[in-house]
Amino acid sequence: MPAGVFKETYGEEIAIFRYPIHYAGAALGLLFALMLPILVGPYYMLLAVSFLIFLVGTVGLNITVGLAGLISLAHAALMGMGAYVTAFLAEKGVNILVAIPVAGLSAAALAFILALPSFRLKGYYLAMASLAAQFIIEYIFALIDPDQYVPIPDEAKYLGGIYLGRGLPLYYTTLAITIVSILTAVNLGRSILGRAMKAVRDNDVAAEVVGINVYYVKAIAFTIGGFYAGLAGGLYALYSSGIGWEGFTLEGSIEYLGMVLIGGPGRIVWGSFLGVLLVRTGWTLLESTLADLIVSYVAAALKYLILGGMIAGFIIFEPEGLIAVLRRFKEYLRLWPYSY
Amino acid sequence: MAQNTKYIALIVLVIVVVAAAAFMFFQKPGAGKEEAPEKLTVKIGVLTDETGPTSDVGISYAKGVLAALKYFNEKGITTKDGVKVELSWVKRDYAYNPTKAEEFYKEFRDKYGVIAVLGWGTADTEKLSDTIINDKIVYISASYSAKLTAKPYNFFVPPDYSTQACIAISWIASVKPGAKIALLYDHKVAYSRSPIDAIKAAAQQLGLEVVADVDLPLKATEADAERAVLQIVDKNPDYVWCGNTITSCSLAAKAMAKQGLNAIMISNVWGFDERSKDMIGPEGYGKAMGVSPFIYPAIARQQNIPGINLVLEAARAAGYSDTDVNLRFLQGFLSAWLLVQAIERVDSQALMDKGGEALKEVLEASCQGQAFDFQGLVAPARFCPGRHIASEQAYLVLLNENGEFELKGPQSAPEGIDCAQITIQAGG
Repeated sequence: MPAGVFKETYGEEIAIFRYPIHYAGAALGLLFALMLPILVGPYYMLLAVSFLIFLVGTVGLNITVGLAGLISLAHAALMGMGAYVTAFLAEKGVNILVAIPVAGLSAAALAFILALPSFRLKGYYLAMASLAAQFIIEYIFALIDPDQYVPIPDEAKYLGGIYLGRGLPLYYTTLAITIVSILTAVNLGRSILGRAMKAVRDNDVAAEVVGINVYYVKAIAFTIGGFYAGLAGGLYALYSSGIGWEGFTLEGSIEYLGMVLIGGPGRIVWGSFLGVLLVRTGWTLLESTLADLIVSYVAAALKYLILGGMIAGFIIFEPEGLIAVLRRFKEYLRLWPYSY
Repeated sequence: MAQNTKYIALIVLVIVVVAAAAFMFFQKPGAGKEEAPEKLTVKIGVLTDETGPTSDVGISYAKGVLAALKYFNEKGITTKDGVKVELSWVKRDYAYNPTKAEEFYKEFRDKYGVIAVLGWGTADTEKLSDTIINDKIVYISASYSAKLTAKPYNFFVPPDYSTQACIAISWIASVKPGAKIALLYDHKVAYSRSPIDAIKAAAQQLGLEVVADVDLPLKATEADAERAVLQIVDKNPDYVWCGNTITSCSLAAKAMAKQGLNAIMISNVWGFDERSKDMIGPEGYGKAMGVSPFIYPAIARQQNIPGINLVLEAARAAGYSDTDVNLRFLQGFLSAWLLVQAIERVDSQALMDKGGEALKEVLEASCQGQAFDFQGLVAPARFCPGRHIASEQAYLVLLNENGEFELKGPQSAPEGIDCAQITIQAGG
């Protein structure tokens, strides 16, 4: 009987579930996610829905930024693209479950266009190009949505007589789409394409030398990231009574980037999970507490101070993000009480 | 294997601890009303903009709302059948972001179980106007958008923006027939756009000419204002409509004086108040006016309007000086006062059973019954089902050449022109 778990094939080595603990963790996590509505009230269930939506979006940005090393400051605009496409299709009578994947594809197409500057630019210059794209798209949103509000017809949110826009159906629909999205993203990281993205991120010249089509990889990284952003936008349209361009501004893009950088760039699932949990959901909970304790403009200013401070802090002291801190803690526990 | 067992045990332990903590921490929301018949608690959500682009008027408005809630709570509120009511409120600053407003609204509804919301802006109030019908939550807003007048759960104290604007247009037609009007407002903001279709339609019907329609950002800089004014100078308008808030409109009035444009600016209710005198400066004296359904507090004190004493008493009780009581404070106070008056007209059993729906019913009962009276600070309000236009009167306030505010009116809406309906039909 072997003492430990030994991998005998490459397939076993790169499997998603490599150790028994992975199965146990996934099962318990799934159980917890399924039981959450029983454990918490409707408000916290909605908070969980919001968490899942932004998790999908952040996973997308983590593919673009973390996996392929391409800085994007237009992710909120891509999410907006998905939301507006969903709203448009819903208005035309298309069921929202059909509209959501179309929203993802539309945002992916837009992201592909945004990827074009990445063929010639990188680093700060690429960031500036994406920043320009964010402003242009934001401006177009404001032009097509001058009332700051496009309603999502409730009729589009039904499936077999069940209204998906609220309560348990909303939660479970979002959860199902999130799980599928995450599993796909996990597989992407283990694929040839995923490894090519990492190679381009680490050294694009070396990647090209070994035969990787750098342009193709960059375009695909942006496009997949855009697809996830569009999917998140579509889910947001399901969650919300209507969408407005203020929800997809530069501030949103910076928040997305903050979630990736703080959570753990390159760690597509857990890094994104921790980033959204801390920056988005954590702040929402903190904001309510602060609003009751101190004057609101101090609370509003605190958000930017805290978010900015955390981004700077993680970039300087822990570029691998919160996930690296947790990994070290896990290692410590694994060896505890001995340090060797 | 032992190591894996250790991991599994650890994960199970963490999950159990997290689940237990979540169970204890996340409480299910309380009901919007209490069962005890001798005392009811009415939960209210207050949405404000104290940090966003309309904070120049939003901060004082929020102070007025909170001062009123505190004052009436301490003074004692009773329902129609004599049951004591205590108000309990939750305030959130959404910084004029409709997306954020919806998140806070869901928090109000699902976490706190509110039955009424004292809200703020046009885009967010319009956005939530259908949701609140399903939730049966009464929503009294600082947005006076005409589109809200057709919504069953939306209410506000003065006439809608479109009716107010038409009152101004009607006044222009009476003092200068055939006058030329230029429009300055933020083309991307629902609030600023709200009365524009009605203004254009009313101007046409009253023989006036709209000669320019120019974008002026709500959060304008001096350069924005000068650029906007430059675009209307050669049109030589007699009057300029400003549809933004006070900072933006004051900058535009200054720019008009700087460019030598000999026209009078008329701002909507949020674009002109006591601060306009200092913000516009002497060069704009005699050239700036505002529409206001409310009597300015300083003028109300001069004219001994009874309601102002109540407002001042509430402000003092909340720790504010008399000078803090400005037009915005008054507007906020009156919104909260309308809610309190509705609670005082409702039957306690109906309030317990139906919550916001009961409040809506008593508000709409004013259509044929007793109007909601604000002791002279604004015209008495009546709300008819399907048409929540509280009244059709407003003042025009001129900053005269001596730098003093001069009240003209009250003026009435032009007869035969249903400006709110024009806006609703235009979808603007």
